[in-house]
Amino acid sequence: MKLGLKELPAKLRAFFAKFPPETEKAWSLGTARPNPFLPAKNEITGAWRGPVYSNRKQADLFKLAKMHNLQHLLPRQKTWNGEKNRRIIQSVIRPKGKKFERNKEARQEKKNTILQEALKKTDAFKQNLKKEKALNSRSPI
Amino acid sequence: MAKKQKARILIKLLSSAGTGYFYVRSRARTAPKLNFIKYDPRIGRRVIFNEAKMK
Repeated sequence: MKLGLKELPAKLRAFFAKFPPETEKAWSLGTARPNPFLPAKNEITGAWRGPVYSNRKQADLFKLAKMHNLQHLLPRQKTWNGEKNRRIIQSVIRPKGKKFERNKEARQEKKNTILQEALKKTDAFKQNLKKEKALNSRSPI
Repeated sequence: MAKKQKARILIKLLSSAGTGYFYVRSRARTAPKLNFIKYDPRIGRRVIFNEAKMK
């Protein structure tokens, strides 16, 4: 596999298995090789087929290849002609989270305190009942 | 004519554990407020249920 022992992401691996690059420096040497990222015309029928990989998938592959410095080994993309200064954000810095996620701990704590208080009150209530029962059961004599 | 008040009213016995679970009961209008220890399935335990107004 490419790059020796380095493990590539599954998408890249699958792509290189189907469309391996011809040299270490480029995906294809000449124009003869059909590009899976571009539409192609069937010589016999004259009909055009769309790209094998959609724009979204091409972009995914490009980003993965760029992370591993292999972007030169991909064929020419349909929409990404020439690399511009583009910063690919690889992770979210400080995700905000939803409101209920932010409040979750506080809500749970509040629920717990209410429950504990209720249980205490229940115990006190039961003690009271026992006392009253004891008082009432005593005969007036 | 003004509507005559009923002798008995329906009340809600609301769980003190804050789960919102309630029982419904009737009592005489002149009787004191009701409190019972009943089972709350939302926590799976018995707690005090206090009277609350039935809307």
